[in-house]
Amino acid sequence: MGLTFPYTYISCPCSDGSKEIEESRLRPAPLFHKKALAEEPEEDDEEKEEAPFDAHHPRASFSLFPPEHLLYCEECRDLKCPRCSIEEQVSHFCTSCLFETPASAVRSEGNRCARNCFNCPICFSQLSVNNINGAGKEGPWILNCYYCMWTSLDIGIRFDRPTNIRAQLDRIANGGKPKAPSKPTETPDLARRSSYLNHESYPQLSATTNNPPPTQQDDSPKETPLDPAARFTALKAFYKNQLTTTTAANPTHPSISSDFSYSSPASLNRILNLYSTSGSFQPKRKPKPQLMREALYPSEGLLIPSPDAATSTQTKLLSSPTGGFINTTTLSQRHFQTGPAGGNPDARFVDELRPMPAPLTTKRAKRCKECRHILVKPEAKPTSTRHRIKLVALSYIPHVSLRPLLGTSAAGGGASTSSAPSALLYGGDVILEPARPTQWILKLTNPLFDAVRVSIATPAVTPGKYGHRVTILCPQFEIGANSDVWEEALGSKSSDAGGSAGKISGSGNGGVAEAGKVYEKGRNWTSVAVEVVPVSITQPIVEAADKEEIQVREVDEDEDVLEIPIRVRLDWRQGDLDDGANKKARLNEDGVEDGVRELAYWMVLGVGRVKK
Amino acid sequence: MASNITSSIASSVRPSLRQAAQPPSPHTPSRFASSNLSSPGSGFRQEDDAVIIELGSRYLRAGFEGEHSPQCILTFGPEDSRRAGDYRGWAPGHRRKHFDIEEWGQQHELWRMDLRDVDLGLVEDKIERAFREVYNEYLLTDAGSARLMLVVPSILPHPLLSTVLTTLFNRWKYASITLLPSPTMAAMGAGVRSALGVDIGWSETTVTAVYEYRELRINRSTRSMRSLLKELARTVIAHRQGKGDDVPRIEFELAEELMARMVWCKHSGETTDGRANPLNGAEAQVDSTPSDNTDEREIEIEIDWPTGVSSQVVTLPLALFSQPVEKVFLASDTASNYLDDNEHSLPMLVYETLQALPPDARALCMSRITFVGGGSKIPGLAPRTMFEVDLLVKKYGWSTIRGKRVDDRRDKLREIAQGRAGKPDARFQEPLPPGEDYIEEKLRKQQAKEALPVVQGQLRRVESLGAWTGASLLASMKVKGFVDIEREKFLQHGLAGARNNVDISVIPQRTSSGAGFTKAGDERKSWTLAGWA
Repeated sequence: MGLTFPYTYISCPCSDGSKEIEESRLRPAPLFHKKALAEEPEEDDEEKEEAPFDAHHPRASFSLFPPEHLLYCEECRDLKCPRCSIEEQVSHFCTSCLFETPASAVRSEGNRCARNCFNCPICFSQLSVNNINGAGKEGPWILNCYYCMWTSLDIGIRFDRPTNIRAQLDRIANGGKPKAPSKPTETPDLARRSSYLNHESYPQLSATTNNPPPTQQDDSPKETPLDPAARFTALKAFYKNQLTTTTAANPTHPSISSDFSYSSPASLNRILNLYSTSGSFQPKRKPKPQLMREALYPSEGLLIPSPDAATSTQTKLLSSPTGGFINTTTLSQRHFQTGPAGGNPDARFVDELRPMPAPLTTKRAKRCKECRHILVKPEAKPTSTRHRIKLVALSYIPHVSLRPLLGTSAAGGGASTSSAPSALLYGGDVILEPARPTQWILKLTNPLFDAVRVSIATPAVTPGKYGHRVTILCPQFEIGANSDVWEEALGSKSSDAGGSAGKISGSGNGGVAEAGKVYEKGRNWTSVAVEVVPVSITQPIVEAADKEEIQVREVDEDEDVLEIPIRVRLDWRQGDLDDGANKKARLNEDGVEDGVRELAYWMVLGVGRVKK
Repeated sequence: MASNITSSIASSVRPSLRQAAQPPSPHTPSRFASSNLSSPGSGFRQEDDAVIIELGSRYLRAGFEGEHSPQCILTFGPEDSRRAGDYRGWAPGHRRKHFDIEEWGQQHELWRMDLRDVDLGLVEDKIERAFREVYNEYLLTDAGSARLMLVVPSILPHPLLSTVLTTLFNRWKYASITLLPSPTMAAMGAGVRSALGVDIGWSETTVTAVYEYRELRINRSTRSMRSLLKELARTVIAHRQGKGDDVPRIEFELAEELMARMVWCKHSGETTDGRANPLNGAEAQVDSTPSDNTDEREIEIEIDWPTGVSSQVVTLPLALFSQPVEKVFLASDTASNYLDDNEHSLPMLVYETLQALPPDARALCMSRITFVGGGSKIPGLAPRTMFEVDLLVKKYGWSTIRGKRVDDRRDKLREIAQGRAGKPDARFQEPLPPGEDYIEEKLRKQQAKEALPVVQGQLRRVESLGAWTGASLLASMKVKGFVDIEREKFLQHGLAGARNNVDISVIPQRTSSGAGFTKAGDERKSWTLAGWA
């Protein structure tokens, strides 16, 4: 899918059914209990027959991973996918300047680069700092994009210095004017009035102010509405203030006052109250908690939208120089503006966008979810690509490749796939003729230093909408150890890893696609033949409701892809070659014969597209 | 709707009806330490900031407490549900399968409230992948270490809620997950305690009356952004066909761009074709500005319409982009009495919710109407809704009785009353007792003592910062959420372990303030789903 054929995907064992059974307890009961029905006929205590893996199921795309994405846990002896490993951040760095940010500073910088790395708000590519005059050390500086030619002059922003752009940008609003401070300017009389009015000692004042609190009419019109960030700060300050005030009024109240530090007189009062009230038998009538009021003023974060705000957007939409489709922001541009570090996610027009500081990236260590064993641990330095620990699944499971089998008449063993008889290579896709049997060579290469016994099984008819017939001619075989290359080259007939079968050793020609027989065998690889009979993909025909003509509905994306689910089962005995892990295993499990490893998983083999 | 609010705020802010508010004693500004057992010196050992994640049917917003904006907004589109390592969506010349307009939406949603065609396993997979991406790429912290607050719709089917919680608890080591209802959070984000939250969402529009942080009533309508999107696509296609273009194809993505960028709403009740809205009658014409309309009709905009590999410039009149709004949200083509209960127009929905409220709650809510959700971004829709609600109120008052027969009957009654000597209900009008009404006086006194008079009884719109930001505010106040689901308890019993007692009373907590610690221990034992139960 999306890759060039043929390809391999592996479904991690963690998404097998066994996990779901365990979890089903937590789920609400399904309408009719499928499991109960299924369990009755086959009560084998042996391995329960699982349904074959359906690669076309929508859930499959979440559990299938390319083999390179998988890890192997030595403790659990199982494959680990990104879904069953836990990640831990090792270091944070910026991808464009490769500078590491200490973990303590990451949050305060909004998870973005605090230096001069910015991304273009239009095309998201990297921006560079340039002198407006072309060269020289003087003069204003701008950010510009070499990809789409956007510059910060488009939004009227220029910088005095070429360094510390982020701090400078935070102070400039679009258009070049200094940004309103995030702390709202409190109109002094309003603030004072509101705090005075809380006091009972100023009854005459509250009595006289019977007029409703200011709505947008009697607000000073010159006051510009706060931007979301400033509103947030105002609201936060307001809530904090209210909580403090209301708690101070009823010091015995446990819920909020408990959060306060002891240095506050209110809290001291509360503590004293605790002792005094519990000691006396007639508790004092507690004062009713004071009402926490709502925000009433713009300085407290209240925003009554002015009626002409929407109108101005509309007129801007209409006016020719700034309006039109081309001057509005796309959805992805708006999403790109999200984040507490600058940015204007409400930007509707291109001139409201802001350059975004480059997001930081992390290096992460991975642990097994079950045993917490470390699977991957990279070096913390951003520029280093080395790993301290790296247990990649590819060094445990055989590498799989697939190629078409040429006609039975003699052909070179190393012939390229392009001359395959039944599979046409067309535009990078392998096109299969429906209803014509094709034969393929499945080759498994062993990365381990031990010989591995492999059994592969596939449903005779692939599950899903279209049942393609698949036959593996030799389901059980052995692949030799990945021993020293020289051994083979020197032609030592007594290769200990080779096994016993009288085989054609690596010669390539003379393979016979015969049932029950291995097609070819080499030092650490074995290939078997697979026969595939694709069924024809019928195009669903729907009649349009209003029209007479019959419309041919498009086939779902990838519906025509022939994918073979294969259950792979490996077992091998860990040899004496690597003693460290083996010794550990022997210590760990006394009862079981040591060194025996088993691994089973579903693999999906993408063969090609069936011709429509 | 039961109230599901955060207990501590609620208990501390009970309206005091008889007691005078004490003047606050002088105090030093407080630090907000995280735990009530922390000693003053331990203030600098800070807890990880809570992570707040808002889940909707199409978007996921995630960020930290105390920040004004989420760190990221994630979608659940088809590109996001590909296999790992499949990057063909970015390949040049990649064309996705064309879907019929009627089939739109399913591939772009996380869930649907109608669970008949929702694969819960798929929801689980999508949530797991999205959360992994959020933590690894945007939040840059280890998942499960900090507290998690989930902002979810206040009505969520149990299977969905259970799936979400099970996935999160099984996948990561969250100690507990707090649930917060989005309408109340939107009120929090507006700075008000009571509000009428209008959420114009993707799959439905909900109007929630929140009174003192409690949800009183929810009304919902199927008129939503999804229907707007489909209607917009149909309108544009019909227009192009009408102009004689060959039948163009419109993809979901293009329609969504058009919806986000160009759709707008007219100011007043006049529909595009100049026909007066049947709902408003003649009054609608008063505010309309005909000069605007002629302008808008003439303006044409150019759009790059993608055709296969290239794109083609298509000219569309701007007026076209206000038609779907009229039809979908304002139901201008159908008389209100033909509409089903679940498809009321937006103004009608607001009006009906207000009408069903008790008068005092209505007075507060009607002057605190917040618009959130995707539809609130449509320029002009919110003012237009307010305008229409105002018309409805002027026309009907708050009476539920209406219709031709009622008017007739009223006229007749009036005639009869005029025929009689006295007023028809004179015998019910007892003379006022002499002297002052002490209750009235008490109330007046009480009102004078109230810190500040509250705006009520007038229709007013209040801008909200949104549910996510409201939750961020709440979390930064270190207020403990009421629905706090602990890991062990949930994994043992699932949702069934929740205390069934939906009725959350704040009064027992207050009276037990002396023995607060034992009570707190009590609460630990059981947990509740509050409104989600």
